[in-house]
Amino acid sequence: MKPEHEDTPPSRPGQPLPPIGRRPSAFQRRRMAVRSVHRWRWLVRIAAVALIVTVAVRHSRDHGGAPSVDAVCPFGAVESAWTWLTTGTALPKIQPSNVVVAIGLLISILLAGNVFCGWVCPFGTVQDVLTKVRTWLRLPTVRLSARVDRLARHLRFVVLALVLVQSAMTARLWFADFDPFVTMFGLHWIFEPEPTKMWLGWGLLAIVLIASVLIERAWCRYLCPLGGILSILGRASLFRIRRREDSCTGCNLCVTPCPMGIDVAKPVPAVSSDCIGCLECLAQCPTGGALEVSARLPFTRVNHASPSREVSR
Amino acid sequence: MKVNKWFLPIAGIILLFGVIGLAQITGYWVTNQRAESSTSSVSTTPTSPADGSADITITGQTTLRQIIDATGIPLATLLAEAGLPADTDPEATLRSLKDLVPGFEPSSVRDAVARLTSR
Repeated sequence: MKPEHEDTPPSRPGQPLPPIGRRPSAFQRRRMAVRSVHRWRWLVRIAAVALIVTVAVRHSRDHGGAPSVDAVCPFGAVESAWTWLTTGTALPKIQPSNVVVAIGLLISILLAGNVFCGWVCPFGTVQDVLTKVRTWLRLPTVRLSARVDRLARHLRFVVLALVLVQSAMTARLWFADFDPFVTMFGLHWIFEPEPTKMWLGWGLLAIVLIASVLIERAWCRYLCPLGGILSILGRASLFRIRRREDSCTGCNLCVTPCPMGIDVAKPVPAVSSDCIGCLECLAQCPTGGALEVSARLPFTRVNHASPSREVSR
Repeated sequence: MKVNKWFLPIAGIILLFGVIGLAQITGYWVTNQRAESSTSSVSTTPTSPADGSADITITGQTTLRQIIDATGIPLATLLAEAGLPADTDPEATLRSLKDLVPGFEPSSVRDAVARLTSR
């Protein structure tokens, strides 16, 4: 029996939706699913960007104490954890709201995986916009070899360790001076530009943005310390995207759209913990049931006979 | 147990913002703890407010002028209490003073205002 997607041509750009009453083809159904995921993801992410920009503008203009971007960042609670545990006080600028967001994020990840990075994080959205720009301009993308990619992903933990150690030693938000997210969304570059103090943060932001044009979500894949923590926590999530080998036809259509560069077609049985829950792979899958969102007890053993150790747990 | 694919984003986002909403309802959503404590101490016992109100939240963006206007504390007294030089520009924000005066922290002005208004 032929797979469902083989009944239709591989690509038909500009194909209109089927007339009412006529059953859409497999290709059309897949295309509608992809559009639906794209539409909702952009909608949610634009709302998140608008929210964080509103917070930053209010903080910069309102001298009455509107919360800063630092006060709503979940990573602040992580940076302050050691100081809080050893001294009983938080780092300057860290507020109870940081802890609340971190707890919310933790609960969210333990149940539904790391959808924060794929659906909420404003800096991830900026990188996705840059990817769009690269696509429109037809610029080439840089593809790292599997070995280099695997090693480079560990840089997130190096950055994380550096930030935690420096925050504990200096007793302040050491990373805030360099954090691309704070540099961009703190909006100090608009309301309080101080080039002599901010040049390092601006320089790092520029490097990250350029890298994100060349490599999709370069910051998320290789450097984001929060992403490193979330990828560890993602291993314990109850619901994850899983692949059923008996249903998969090996068409690899799910691999290309993954913004995190995960080889979705290989891992058995669960997609990598680097997964950001964007649903692009699920929407692209032409075979019903090959990829699915399902629950399994966390930290249970998996089949390590998977051909890709990089992306399997 | 298999679920619909939309379960991931819907559950994840609802849980994240649900916890934030719950914290706001229960009063645990505090985004500016120091400022809130400063506001309460300033507003409850004003010394001699110039405009009849001492409500001010002292942040890094606040200037010394705004503080003395709101609290009625003389500039010289505030500068001495906060450990700032006598020739400090009253129009300077606390954040800029942090860069100009070695060892100065905006919290020292908050503490100074709290002490002066409680006397």
